[in-house]
Amino acid sequence: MTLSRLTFTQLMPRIYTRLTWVLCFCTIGALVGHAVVGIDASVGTLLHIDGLTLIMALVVTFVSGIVHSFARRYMMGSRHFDRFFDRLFGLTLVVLLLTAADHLVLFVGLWALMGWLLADLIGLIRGWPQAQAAARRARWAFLGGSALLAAALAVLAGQTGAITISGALPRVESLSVGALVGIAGLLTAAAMIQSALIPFHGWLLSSMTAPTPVSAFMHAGLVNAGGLLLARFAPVVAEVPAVMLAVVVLGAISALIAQAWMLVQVDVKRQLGCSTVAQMGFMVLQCGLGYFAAAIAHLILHGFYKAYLFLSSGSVVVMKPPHAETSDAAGLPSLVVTGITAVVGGGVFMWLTGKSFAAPDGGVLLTLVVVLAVLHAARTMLRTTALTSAMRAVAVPLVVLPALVLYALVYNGIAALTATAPMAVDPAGFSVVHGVVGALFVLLYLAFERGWHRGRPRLYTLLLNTSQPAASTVTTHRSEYHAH
Amino acid sequence: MPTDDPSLATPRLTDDTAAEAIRRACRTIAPVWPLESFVAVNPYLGLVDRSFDEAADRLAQTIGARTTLPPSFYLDAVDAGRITEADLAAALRDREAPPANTPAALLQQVRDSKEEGQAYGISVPTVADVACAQTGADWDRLATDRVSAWAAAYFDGGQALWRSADPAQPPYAAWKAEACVDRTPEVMGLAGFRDVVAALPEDPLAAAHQALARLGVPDVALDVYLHRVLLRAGGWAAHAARIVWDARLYEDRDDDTLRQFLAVLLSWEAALLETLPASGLAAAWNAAKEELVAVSNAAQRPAARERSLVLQHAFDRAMQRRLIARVNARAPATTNGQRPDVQAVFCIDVRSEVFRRHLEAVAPTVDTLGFAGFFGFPIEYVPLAHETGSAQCPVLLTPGHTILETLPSSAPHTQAVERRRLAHHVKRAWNAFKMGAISCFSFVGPVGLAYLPKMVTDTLGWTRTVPDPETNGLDEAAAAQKGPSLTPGEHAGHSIGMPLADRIDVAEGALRAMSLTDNFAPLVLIAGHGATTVNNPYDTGLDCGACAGRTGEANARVAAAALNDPDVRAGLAKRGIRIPADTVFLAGLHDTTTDALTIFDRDGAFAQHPERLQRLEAWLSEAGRRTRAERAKRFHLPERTATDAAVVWRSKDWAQVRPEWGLAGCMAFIVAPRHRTEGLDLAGRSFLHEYDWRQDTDFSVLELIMTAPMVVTSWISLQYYASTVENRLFGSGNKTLHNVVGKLGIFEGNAGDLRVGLPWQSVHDGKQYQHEPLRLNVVIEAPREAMNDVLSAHDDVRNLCDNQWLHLLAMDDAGRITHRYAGDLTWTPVQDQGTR
Repeated sequence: MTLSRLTFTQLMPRIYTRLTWVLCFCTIGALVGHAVVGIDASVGTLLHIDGLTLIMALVVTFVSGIVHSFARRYMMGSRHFDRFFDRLFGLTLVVLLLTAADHLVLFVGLWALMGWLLADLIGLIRGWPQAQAAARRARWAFLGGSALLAAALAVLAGQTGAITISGALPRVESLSVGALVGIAGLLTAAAMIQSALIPFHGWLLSSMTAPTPVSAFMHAGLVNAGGLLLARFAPVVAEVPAVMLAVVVLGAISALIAQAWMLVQVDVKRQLGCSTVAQMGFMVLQCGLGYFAAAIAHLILHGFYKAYLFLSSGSVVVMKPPHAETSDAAGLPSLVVTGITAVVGGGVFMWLTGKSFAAPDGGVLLTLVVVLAVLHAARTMLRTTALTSAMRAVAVPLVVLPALVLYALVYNGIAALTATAPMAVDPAGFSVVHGVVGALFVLLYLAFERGWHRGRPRLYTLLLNTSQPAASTVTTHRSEYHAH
Repeated sequence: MPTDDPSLATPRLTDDTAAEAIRRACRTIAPVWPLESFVAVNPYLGLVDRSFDEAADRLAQTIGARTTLPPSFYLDAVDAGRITEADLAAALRDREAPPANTPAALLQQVRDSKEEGQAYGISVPTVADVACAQTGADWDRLATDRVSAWAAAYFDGGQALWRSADPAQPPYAAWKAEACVDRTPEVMGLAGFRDVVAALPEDPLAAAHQALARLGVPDVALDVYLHRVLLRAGGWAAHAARIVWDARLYEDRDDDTLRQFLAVLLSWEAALLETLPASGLAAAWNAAKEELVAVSNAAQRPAARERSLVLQHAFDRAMQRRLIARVNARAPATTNGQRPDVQAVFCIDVRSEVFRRHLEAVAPTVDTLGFAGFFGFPIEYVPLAHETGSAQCPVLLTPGHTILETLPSSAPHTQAVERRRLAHHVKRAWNAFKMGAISCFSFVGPVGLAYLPKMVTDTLGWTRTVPDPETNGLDEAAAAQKGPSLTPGEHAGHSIGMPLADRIDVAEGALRAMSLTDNFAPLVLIAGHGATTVNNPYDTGLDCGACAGRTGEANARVAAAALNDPDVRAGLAKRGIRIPADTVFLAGLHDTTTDALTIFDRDGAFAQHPERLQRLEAWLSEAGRRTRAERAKRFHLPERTATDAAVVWRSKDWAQVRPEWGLAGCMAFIVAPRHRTEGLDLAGRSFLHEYDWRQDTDFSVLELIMTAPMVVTSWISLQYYASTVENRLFGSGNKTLHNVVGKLGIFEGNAGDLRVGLPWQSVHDGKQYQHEPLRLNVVIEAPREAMNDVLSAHDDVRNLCDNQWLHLLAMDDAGRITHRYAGDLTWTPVQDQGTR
């Protein structure tokens, strides 16, 4: 009996891992085929495979493949080994289907199943009360999200008379504003829950009871489903400008607050968790600006970024670095270089991503963030005393500009691949709301750059307290710790 | 009525009583070292002045800790014949009040009781506990959570980008400032909590006294109560204890971080009593104080715990019996006195035993010796381009000299320093983009793209998650050429290097301590050790403990350089140690994960003994291969695996939670000449220290061994012991759930108290324990009177032996283990001395 059990333990995870990689390579093939032929495929009313499907599927299978391979050694010897792999592989399949689901009922069903499986993985360790509490919390959140989604799609189906996404979206224009606002509101709320946007971030910040590979897959693959939802139903969300403005504001709130949260975290996983909330907020903000392709590019690259940082989170303890003093004495020439690089960087980005200089729209906000980033990069570089001042001046554009070009290329590639998906909507024009959001980004940048936050214990305590995991998910009683 | 009890009638304690009790309580907390230099520590350190069994009682009362495995483990050992009836009978005989008359009766009781591994109930009440019982809300959780969250932020070692508290601010003041603005307790229902905190005294000790006075803890109950309160956040208390330890060791200063931390915990208790709007709390607390007094006076040990302790003692005895039988059954061996080809000095570490055994097997003309892996050279080592370094010696010692890592010639040195600084700055700039408040939104794209291929190459083991700190920022030539420099000088305002007189002193001390004073071989290899792992927060825990969680490379190279110095040899000759002119000392590093042995600065040796050196290198590589083959068995690798490659792969695998077994399984420390154990397969479970008492005329070396290596090995053994029997409280739990906090320690899951000790994966392979709970068997070949003299002179060492924290055994002149230390400076003959 022991032998057969052992064999099974070794066998199934290996099969799952190979299958996941096979799926990943198939997706690559399909994506290439799609790029060449440019035709979508359908399986009855159930599935509709377009560029968005394939891109999302590629990310999901790749990250899942890495996580599978990683976990085969990482989870070795765990009592939950088999259960872990069953659920991980199951979840991969569910998300894969979700990216292609066309039938509204199937979409809702898969959405709910995804939440259920994910909650189960958060509570993988059965004998640990805090893990179970975190799982419960996540399960309720996902159930709520699924209910909102079901309501949204029920209204959509009722109003349009269609039972598929591809059938319903072309008829969206005929809907009343009230119905549109209702559907879009419900969809946005469901997406916010899935992407752990404020105020629905609690489940994510309480989810570190999951083993590291689960966190990696969760932050790289599953929170992305919120972005997928908004992109899939882009025509509904983008139809009413007021809804789009609300989405911008909601995204910006998460981006700014969670970014501030991140600053005060002392443990690596919660720091990464706060960063995810912020990045998802920014992604949703991009959706709200009408840049759905940019949002998809953002969440894909963020997925790689976060998966890697979670899997390598055991590496943050390193030997003390050599002492490095920084000086603020950046001379006038280097300041000029900084400014020029920032402006040129922004310009290059706008030009590469095809944003119009003549008629600025919400995309100005994205360019603004790029300019701030370049400013930050340049200023950091200029403070690096190990470089000669000549080197510093050259280093800034040398490092920053290729990075921007690369980013823009990915963005353009994704925009091209998703051209057939109905998410290419016209960006909203620049409005006062956009201006306010932009000002807040500049303010946060300046505050951090100038150190205005220092010496404000009340703000610090507020940030720390509001970013705590739920009390029931923290193991404070030492005797409650489970051993393994 | 409580007032009838005199101890309760005088709740106002004098300041002296309280201050003394606070100091005592703080001494019961064992320090924990940060992950950056994770050295082993005895988690029962503060309790060794009481017996093993009494400590078990105290820990059960104060945190519900077990100090033995669940009974089923011992029953299995009985069923497997590993524990015999005689062992059980002997363990029962040692009890003052045996729980059963016969082994059979004992086993029957254990089987009937069905007591299986649950934690013992905590029996020392606190205000928080009483409040929980009164209101039904979990105030204990709130108090612990608040203090832990604050402590994590306060002690942060560089993870948070915005650190609120000034690190220079003392802990109590920092907590007070934070607690004055934290509304959480009030939101949870503690009305006026912030006002109460604001009104607390500024002085931490005054605050502690005030809290104790308000709580009215009876004098007699102070010890258990304070211990219990400290263990509420025991992990952070242990971190504070390490700060106290370092201050005492390196600055000879009585640091009060832990006392301040206790003041915080006590202030919470008092504030809870004051602010909780629950009628009857005061009365309930008064009743609880009677309980406190009762617990403090209680002598009765629950039967289940008594039985478990008997089983553990029997298990210890059974394994000790086997060890004695194996050592004593060995054919008598002596040295032949001939000059060996090579002498190889390794660390006493249990992992060296395996390598040494295989090296001796492949190369009969090689003699091996064991000595603490800093080789008697306590240094502070400053890596290339760094301003300050860290101590590389056991954490009982202070480094004597600061040694700089340099390149041999000046121009390449300067270039390498600049290059490394630059690499570091680039890395910092990269991190700044990654984490910057706004820049992260744009840079997540490019950074994410960069991580895409890295995820693949890391998975395949082609790249490391972070560059190896040893070679980071250096080109290959510089990395190969860098090494320690003994030349005296000055660096960053500190004097560095080692003047000639000091070199001679340290070299003499080291050689005498390793009983290597004559008959030097032409080649003497000094092999430090270190581990190679990736993405492993416990990396430094696998490095050399005698080098404070670093590799022993620098110490070995400094030792070899000093011993090759002709002036040093001239000085040594004047002191009676004559090193032949043809003897060359070689430094090496034994990689305990891959069992490769790297030799440094080989040119000097190659010039003198080219063939001998090449032969040695071939032997070392064959010994490494055999060691890997033996190690592979412990990993349960599937059949037909290429074991060599599979073992090496573990050192590069970012997903590997068990890169090697470290010191798991350690159970003996044998202090004797190597020929006493040569040829004996000790299965990598024994520390080995070279010692010839006949050369040690004043027994100063014996004193050194018993006060330093013996203490350190017992720390290691007890760390493994505690992490095995009670991983929840003295271990760090499941590695797959680990969350590094403050760059210094581990949270398991979301947050909570800092974890101490070793992870579950370090002691268990998923099927069985790789470390079995045994107290260390220290076997010393030396006259028993000499050992008694050392014990009488050192209370802390005597405590370890008298209170059964280790077993001390004496070996006679024929290499047989004949006596067991029985406490109070008495020895009893061991029954089974083996037959020849």
